[in-house]
Order: sequence, then C-alpha cells, then structure tokens
Amino acid sequence: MTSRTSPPGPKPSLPTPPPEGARRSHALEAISAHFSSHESLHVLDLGGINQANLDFVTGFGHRLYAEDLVRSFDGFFSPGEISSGQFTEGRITSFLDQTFDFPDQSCDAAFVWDALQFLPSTLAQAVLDRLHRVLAPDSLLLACFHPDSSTPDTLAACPHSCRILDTRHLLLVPRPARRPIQPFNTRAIERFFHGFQSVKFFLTRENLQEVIARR
Amino acid sequence: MWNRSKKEDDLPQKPAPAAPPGAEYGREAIPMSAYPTRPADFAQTRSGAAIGKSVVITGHILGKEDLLIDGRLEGDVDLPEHRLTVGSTGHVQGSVRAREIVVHGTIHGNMEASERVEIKKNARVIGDLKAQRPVIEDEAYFKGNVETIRVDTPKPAARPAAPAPQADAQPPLLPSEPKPEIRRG
Repeated sequence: MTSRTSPPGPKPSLPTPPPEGARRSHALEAISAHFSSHESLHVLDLGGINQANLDFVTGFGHRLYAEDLVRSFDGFFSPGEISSGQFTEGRITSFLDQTFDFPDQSCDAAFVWDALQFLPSTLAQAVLDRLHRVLAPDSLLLACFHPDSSTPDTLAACPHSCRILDTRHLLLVPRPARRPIQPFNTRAIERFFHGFQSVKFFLTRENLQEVIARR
Repeated sequence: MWNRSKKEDDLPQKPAPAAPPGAEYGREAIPMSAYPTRPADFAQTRSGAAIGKSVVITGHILGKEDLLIDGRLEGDVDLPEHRLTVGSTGHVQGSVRAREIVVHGTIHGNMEASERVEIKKNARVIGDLKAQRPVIEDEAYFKGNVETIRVDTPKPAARPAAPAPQADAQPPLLPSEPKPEIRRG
C-alpha cells in the first residue's frame, strides 16, 4: 500500500442531497479518507457484493474482494451444526481457510458491516481473529452492531445490505430473512476487538454502533 | 404474384445489385421489396453457437463467435472477440475469457472480459473477475476479487513544435504596435 498526494476519489463531495433513506456515516468518512490517501489497496467486503460498493471501491483504483459471510456460513455448515451451535475446531478452521484464502497481512481494509452479529459467538470471534491475521498493520476495519436489547423479540433480526452512496452516506437495505442475532453492548464490542490497536465508536441516530478498528 | 409458389418465398433475399451512378434518374419506378427486411442489428442479435442443457463437455473451447452455455462445461473458454452467455442452467468449471460475459448460471473459475461482465440475479460466481465494466445485480452470489481494467483515453497528438527562431533574425514589428516612447525631462 502506498500513499498518494492527490486522490482521485469517486465522489469526494456531495453537491446534491442524498437519496431518501440514506444516512450519514462517520465511520465511512474515516475509511474513505484512508482510501483517498492510499493507492492500490486490497479491500474486503464481507457483506455480499453490490454494485454501489463495487463502484465506490474500484473508483478509487483499489481492488475489491467480495464475500457474503452470512451466506457462506449457511452454505458451509449443516443445519444440524447450526441448530445445535456445536462447531468443532477443525470445521471452523476449514471454514476460515475457505473464506479467507489470503496470505497474512495482505489486506488493507475490511467492510464487515453487521455480518459478525449474525454468526454464532464462537465463530464470530474466530472470524475476527482471522481478519486480524490477514489485515496489514495500520489497516482499518468497519463493522456495525445493532442495538443491544434483551427482549426476546429482538434476538432475531434481518442482516442488512449496506450500500455506499458516497464518501459520507450509506443506505441500509434489510435482506429478506430474519435470523438469530448476537447481542453486543459497548463493553462487549471493546472486548471483541481487544487485539486491535484502537477502536472508535460512532453512535448513529438509529442506535446503531459503528466501529472503526485499526489493526 | 398471387400464385407464387411457397418455394419462392423460402428463397433467400438477394441484395439488389448496386446501380451505376446517375442511373436512378433514368428509371420510372424503383423496384421495392414488400417483404420485411432484416433488422440492421441482425448480426448482433443473432445467437452464435449453443451448448444445450443436457450437454456435458470436458475440454478447452476456443471460438470466434458468440456462445451460449446452458449445459455443463469442465474446461476453459476463450472467446477473445465475442460474447459468452452462461444460461440459468449453465455451469462452467474453468476460467473464462471473452469480450463480454453474461452469467445467469454458475461459474467456478476466473473471468476476464475486455469490455463488460454482467452477473445477473440468482447467478453464482466463485472466482476472480477482471473487466472494464463489471455489473453485478442484487441477489447474485459472488465470491472473489474484482478488478476493473482502466482504459486510458488516447490523448490528442501533440502539435508539431514551431520552428525555433533564428538567433540573428529580428522579430517583425506589427504595424499597429505602438513603439515604446521614452521621455526624459
């Protein structure tokens, strides 16, 4: 990864108002600044590809690796494993090897969005540890967490397809199926990212916790 | 005219020979065909070769026409100047190189298109993608690297350099140009 002096950037400013439903994202602004100031980054998008994110990342001249972590999890583990919540270490390792087939420290940024919250906790921690391994020092990871609520109704939710509209705005589109969600409060998120150099929180109007973690 | 045989209808329409210049002025009427003409983009819309649903091929395909795959192919496809379409029942296990690639079905392998790649809704692609214009629809599954090919627009040719003025030549003064006037007092 190399620094650049004058970033091209796909949409550096926003002359027109954002479309309906778009929300300002300070975490996205931070990661966009990182994109503008560096060249030829290798960026991971683990929320399932969409055209908006593809155009945004490649517009900076970076390379995008796309994977749908939640869908990949559903495809890899059997319904029996998922319902029982029992995942052997060997199975987890082979899932990670299949999903993150990269050399150590070879990636420069990662969009995880809300995917970690929709994985069983043991697997979510294993995924984060693997991300820590494949991300290069000083690289950034963007994740978001739905508000913690202990009522049983909110223990299932829809994962979102997060679309980058420009350097400041995101559009969150709920995906069709509801699924179990792991509750995280601020303290739990801090513990979750303990291996990272720094963690910044941004609380949105919808009570969504955005997190930028620096490797 | 009314009793024309069916065979006559089936005959391919031959293009009218080109008239010599100026000949049209001597004609009283220009003969015109009443039959529908081929659309101008016939060559573009016409499908080329096709691999049917029940066909399984193992091997390398190299072609100079468009190809539609509805069956199963285990091997690479190379259509450098044409379009590859993988239909909804199509499955390709191998790398693909073409001018345009449109995927409705499944590809397990890398894709490289000099122009456009379209991954349609419900398509499934696992492999790296390199194209000038990648288009991925919602609900398509894609796993791999995406890299766009940047096409630099050719810059206009530089103007030929003006001949260097000779060292001893005096620059000509324009008639309307006022001469510098120095007043001392």
